[in-house]
Amino acid sequence: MNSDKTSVLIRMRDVGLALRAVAPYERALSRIQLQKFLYLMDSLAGLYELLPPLEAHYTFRHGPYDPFIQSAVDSLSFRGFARIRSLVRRSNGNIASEYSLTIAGVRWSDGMLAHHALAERNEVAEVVAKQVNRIGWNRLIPLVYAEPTFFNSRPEGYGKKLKPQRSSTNSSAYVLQLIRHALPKQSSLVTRDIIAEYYFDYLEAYANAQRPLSAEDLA
Amino acid sequence: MVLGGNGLGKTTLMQALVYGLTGGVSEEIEEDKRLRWGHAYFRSRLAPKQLRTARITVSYNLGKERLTVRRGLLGSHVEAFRSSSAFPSWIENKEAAERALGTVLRDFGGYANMDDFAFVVHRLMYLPESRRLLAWDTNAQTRILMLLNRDLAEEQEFRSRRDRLKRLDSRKRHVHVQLGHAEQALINILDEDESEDDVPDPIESPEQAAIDELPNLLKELGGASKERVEAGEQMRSVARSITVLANEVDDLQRSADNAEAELVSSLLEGEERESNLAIYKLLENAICPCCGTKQKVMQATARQFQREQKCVLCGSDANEPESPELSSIRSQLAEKTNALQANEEAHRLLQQKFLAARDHEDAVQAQVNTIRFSQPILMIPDSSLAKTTREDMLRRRESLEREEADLAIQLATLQAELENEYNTFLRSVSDRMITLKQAYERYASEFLGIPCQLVPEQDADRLLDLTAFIPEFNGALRPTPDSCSEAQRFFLDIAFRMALLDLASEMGGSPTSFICETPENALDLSYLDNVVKMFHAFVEKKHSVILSANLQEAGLASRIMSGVSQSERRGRVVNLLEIGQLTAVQQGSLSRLRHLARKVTG
Repeated sequence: MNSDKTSVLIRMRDVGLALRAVAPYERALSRIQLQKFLYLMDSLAGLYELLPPLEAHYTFRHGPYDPFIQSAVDSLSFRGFARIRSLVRRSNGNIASEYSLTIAGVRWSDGMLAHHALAERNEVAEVVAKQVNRIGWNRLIPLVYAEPTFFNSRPEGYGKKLKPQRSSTNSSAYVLQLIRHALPKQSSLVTRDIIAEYYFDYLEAYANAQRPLSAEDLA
Repeated sequence: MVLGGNGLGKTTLMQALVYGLTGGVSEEIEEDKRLRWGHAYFRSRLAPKQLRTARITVSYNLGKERLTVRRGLLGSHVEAFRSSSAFPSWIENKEAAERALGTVLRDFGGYANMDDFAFVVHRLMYLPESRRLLAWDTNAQTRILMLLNRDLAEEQEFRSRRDRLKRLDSRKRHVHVQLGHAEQALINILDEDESEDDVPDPIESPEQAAIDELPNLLKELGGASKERVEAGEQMRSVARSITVLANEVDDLQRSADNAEAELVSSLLEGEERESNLAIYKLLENAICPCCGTKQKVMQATARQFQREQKCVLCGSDANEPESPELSSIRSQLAEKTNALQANEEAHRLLQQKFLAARDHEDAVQAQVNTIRFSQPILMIPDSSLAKTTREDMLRRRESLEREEADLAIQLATLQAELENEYNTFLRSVSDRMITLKQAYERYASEFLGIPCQLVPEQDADRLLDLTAFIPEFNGALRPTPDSCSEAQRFFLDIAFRMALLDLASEMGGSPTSFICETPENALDLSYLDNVVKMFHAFVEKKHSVILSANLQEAGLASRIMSGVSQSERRGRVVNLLEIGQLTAVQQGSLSRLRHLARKVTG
């Protein structure tokens, strides 16, 4: 088990990279969107020979939840690396915060890209942003609900640890392996981006085949 | 300590205690008829009128529950029962009392039924004068180990399938003998009737064709069973590799997380300095990041925390130990992750192979069953047969051959399944077995005065390979009781039981009891102190020992009781000199006997 400090720092890395990746699409992410975006990053990480942090998401009321993500974004905001860009009042009366990087945050995330390990993680964030932008930002939550590990674990209640990187069960790692096997080997056309695109198409198709999510799920 | 001389009732008192607990020894727990006993044991010890009125009431703790059981001597059943929380009032209806006792044994002890509890009492907790040993009895060891580890084994199911294995084997041998008779009868008929060519070829009916197909189907069934068992074994082997690799990946991931966290933290601090952010302003200019005022004390504290590599605001000390270089961890992690994924894929493929083999086996088994069940169940014994023709005997021989082959397949399949199940069980309790071996080594070495270990050894059972746990000392395995002296075998058996009771106590979270009749009988003087040390080591763990002992010079009783304070001794000794019926010889030596008793009671 990692210490809380390590877990928060690791999620600061991911939050920084996620907010950086969505900026070109002129997007900021709410608390819940951040959770979902990072969950998709974790699910796709295996394709880039990376793993999600040791302490990551659990099943919770509104989909997968990792408490360290919120701590990370709060800490980044307090230290001046992230800003609450806008406050949106939802139909249910709640106020939603949306986060983006400050100038110092952008410079800090630029600094991370100079390191190979963190640059690869940035690639994952950029691919997730690109694919969600292609499919539609309003599909972020349905995409996560269609992710096989979460889909399987959801009926088992809250608090179940999610490990989308384990391919021995029905998981993202398994789906990614299947896609990789289905594509021609040794072809220069089969890039990670292509596999990621098929993966997101699979999630979207699966999401469309399910019953529509409730207003509570989409909140 | 039940203290007495010959014929004063030591054994009766100990048997009464065990009778109260279990009602005696039934066939469910003792295969040797001579060692079974029940209420009838007390007939010769009481007058008929006393038998009708005598009652045995025993109270004992099972975990946190206190049970009180009352039995009469006209039948071994429970007459009345109560327990501290579940049934606080006496239940005096026979059936209801038995039911309530069963419920409490299940809920507070985890025993599936009263026979399981009785087995644990008789074969583990109680060592009677008949010296029924556990240490070299593989079947009893297996049953005890499975009962103690009931979270990991279905003992009753395993035992009933072993019984089925024995029945199948017995049936196969019976069929084999019949086949020999049929072949002999056929030779006799052929000798009488040499004109073989005159016999018309039988016209084959569809039923006969199906029966003829049976040997091929049985061969196929054997192949499918083997394939399934092999795939299952491979699957488990890969699953074990997955567990090992997954742990290694987790360890490496932890190191990678730490190294990346360190890097992220240093980049954040660098940027804070560069951009003159709030934390940096606190450290450099003493400006509070919350209210913006100058706070020198706060600054000094923050700087102190910074020097100590702590969080500058809260001072939490959560820095991980320095990690190896990130790139090196990353490459190791990639290697292990790839190996893990390859194993996970192999596991999936093996699972498919296993399921396909199982489906195939089920399909062939269904065909075999259809043919088998279409044949008549009634078999006429040889002696009842009318004069047998050659065709009759040929058909009979074929039928017996088919049955023998069928039984051989069923036997092999069941054997493979049971061995597999047993080995899986042993693997799953391997950690607990280490605890057992350590405890045994301590007790046995205490007694022998030299190192003694508990060694797993394949038991040469004809039908099923089980593991027996046997002693090894002086560089030699002791595979049978005869390979030890009388005292060694008796006290090594006690050491084995104490080690098992230790394990049970560790798993159940409460101390246990050991009941032993006259342990000193097999002992020479030089080992007395070692035995005392062994018992003392056991009771130091808060376990109880109930012993019976003879009044003897230099006996075990006084040495064992030396571990009990003078003030407590009287309450721990039942002195049968005071309550038993002394013989004339004992009356003659009464003052001497009393002197010996005082050495024990203090």
